[in-house]
Amino acid sequence: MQTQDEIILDVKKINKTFHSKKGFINPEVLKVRAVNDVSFQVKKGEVFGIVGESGCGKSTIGKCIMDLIPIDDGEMTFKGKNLRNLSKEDRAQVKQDLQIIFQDPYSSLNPRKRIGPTLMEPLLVYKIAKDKEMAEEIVQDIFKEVGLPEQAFWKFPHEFSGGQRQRIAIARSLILNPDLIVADEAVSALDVSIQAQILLLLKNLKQQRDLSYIFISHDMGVIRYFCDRVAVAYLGQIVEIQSVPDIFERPAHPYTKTLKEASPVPSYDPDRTFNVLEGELPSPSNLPSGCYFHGRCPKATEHCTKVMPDLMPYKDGMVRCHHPE
Amino acid sequence: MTEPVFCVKDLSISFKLNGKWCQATQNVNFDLMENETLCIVGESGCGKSITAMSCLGLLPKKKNIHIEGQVLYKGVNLLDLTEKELNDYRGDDLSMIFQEPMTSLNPVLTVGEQITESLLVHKSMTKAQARETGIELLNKVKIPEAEKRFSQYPHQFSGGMRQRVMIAIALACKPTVLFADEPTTALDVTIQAQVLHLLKELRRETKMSMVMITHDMGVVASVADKVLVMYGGQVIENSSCKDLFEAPNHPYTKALLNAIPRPDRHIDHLTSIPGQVPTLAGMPSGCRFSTRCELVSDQCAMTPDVNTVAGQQSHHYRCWNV
Ligand SMILES: Nc1ncnc2c1ncn2[C@@H]1O[C@H](COP(=O)(O)OP(=O)(O)OP(=O)(O)O)[C@@H](O)[C@H]1O
Ligand SMILES: Nc1ncnc2c1ncn2[C@@H]1O[C@H](COP(=O)(O)OP(=O)(O)OP(=O)(O)O)[C@@H](O)[C@H]1O
Ligand SMILES: [Mg+2]
Ligand SMILES: [Mg+2]
Repeated sequence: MQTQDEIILDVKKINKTFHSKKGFINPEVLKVRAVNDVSFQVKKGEVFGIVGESGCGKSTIGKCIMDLIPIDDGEMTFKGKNLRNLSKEDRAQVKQDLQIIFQDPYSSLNPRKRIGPTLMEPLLVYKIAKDKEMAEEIVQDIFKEVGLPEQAFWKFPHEFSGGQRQRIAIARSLILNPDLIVADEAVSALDVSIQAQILLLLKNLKQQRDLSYIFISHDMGVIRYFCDRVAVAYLGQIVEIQSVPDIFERPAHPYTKTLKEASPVPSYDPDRTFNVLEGELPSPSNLPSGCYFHGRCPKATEHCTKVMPDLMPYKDGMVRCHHPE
Repeated sequence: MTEPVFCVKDLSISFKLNGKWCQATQNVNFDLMENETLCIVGESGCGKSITAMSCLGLLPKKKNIHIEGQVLYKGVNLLDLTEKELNDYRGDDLSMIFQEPMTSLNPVLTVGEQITESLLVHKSMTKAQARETGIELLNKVKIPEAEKRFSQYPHQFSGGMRQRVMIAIALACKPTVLFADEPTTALDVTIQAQVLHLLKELRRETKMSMVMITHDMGVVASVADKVLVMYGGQVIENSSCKDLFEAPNHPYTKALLNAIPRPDRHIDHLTSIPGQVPTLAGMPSGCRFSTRCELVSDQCAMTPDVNTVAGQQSHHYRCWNV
């Protein structure tokens, strides 16, 4: 087993605000605080989940880590190196050690290029393979590992089913033998029977290759099955971080509790009631005062409407709430 | 016995693809009693939407689409009707919420205009009456400041609110049967809970019957009285909601239930179903699940008969080997 608590990624107080123009005649600049004071640590060998509803900033957090979106401020340290200030060699190394799987793998594959050659490319660029034969061999080995047939090598992206395309995306993320993979809704678009196949595959790969994952999902069931620890995001902020058993059995933040209770359970229960939140989700470009959740929170007090709580240590995790359970 | 309000008999839908007829649904049967909710559940492409669309005569009458069977509403076979005759039912007795909430609202009409349209057409209300009823409906689907919202455009609404507007439109004429095609799939769970709760309340209030389409077993458990499980265009099991979850019979239903990651309990092992869903052009003959089924035998090359579970009049499945 890996050494306990070795931290592979340390994210400290990162922020990202998008400025977009709305309207044509009198453009109004909308500011969206997509990532707001976000901090968390990922331990080596763990699956760290990020869960939350649409627009809460999950993908943006992932893209900030991958340096696909520049952050406004904050620190990110990966394997002891400051991601905002890398030497040329370190940058090349990080590009190999840190990989992402996107929700829609189709859009990230060149439709006119055969799968095999697409996947061989980085091996040649980073000189991991000394020639084409060796690159092809590595790609074929990884195909075997993720359950793709040998013939897949010479096919085009459109010739695959959704599940197979997701396997291709996984194969691609493994090519450079990374340490940490950010999986952004990697199974969300799949049917249940295929989703289970991919989750099992990701789980096996993690064990065999000693990987760590940041696993982004909006599905509480998938999070519970797959993750070790979870951050719950709401309107750009992290409102709670705890181990999976604690998040599900002893949620500290009222929003976490709501999220769990609103998730439909696949078993018969004639007495089931819906946990219905009052109020609408605030617009991320027009955030409320105080705690962002106060307008929908059953426990909100006047204090909550005025003062934003900090993300504070709580039990074995962190919570951003004036009245945690 | 009371009569069902809606009845589908041996509905088979075929499409001509590259000159070859492919059967997308095969002998689908169900009936619906007053105030009952039936869920049609199954994976992508198994034929849920086309089944619902043909119930409202919405599949285009074209040379490359062939529909067999009957869709009976109050004894009338809707498949025999002309477009004009169908329009007397649509949006009135029979109503539908479509799979894509963002695209099925008209962006250039106000929400109010879209809600009142069917009231003006079917109920011959005056504009003032329709407006009043429309605002009432928006209140009912919990749109805040309904009066102001009535004259706004869809883009001014959030996703969850738009979906509730779709529900308001579908319910305007107090339909007898509401078809809801994945009405909550695009929504966040907290908003989904609001919408499901709303549908349940409205159903209690109006006594309407509902056919709800979903691929989410959790949603099925939350709303269904009875369930139709489809695989590759075949109904492989059909039972009460309770039996489906507590005593499933078909190997596919069982496997599916074991493949769902659950929010309510820790599971060590997820069981996946090997292989892939067959494509429309490549359906296996006989039982369409046979290529992925662990109980498969030679017999499965023939379509299994409908079996009834002993002592359970309303629990059926199609499998040779259970
Ligand atoms: N490039 C961009 N320009 C402007 N706003 C953006 C951009 N990317 C994201 N946003 C906004 O930032 C917020 C967070 O978006 P993000 O995609 O990170 O959410 P998410 O949690 O991944 O949602 P989903 O579950 O829908 O994928 C949203 O309000 C979104 O509209
Ligand atoms: N107009 C059409 N022409 C040809 N094939 C069609 C047409 N409409 C649907 N199909 C095919 O019929 C099958 C069933 O489609 P349907 O839309 O009913 O699936 P579904 O169960 O609703 O799936 P989803 O969960 O993805 O919405 C699919 O294989 C689909 O590709
Ligand atoms: Mg996202
Ligand atoms: Mg559909």
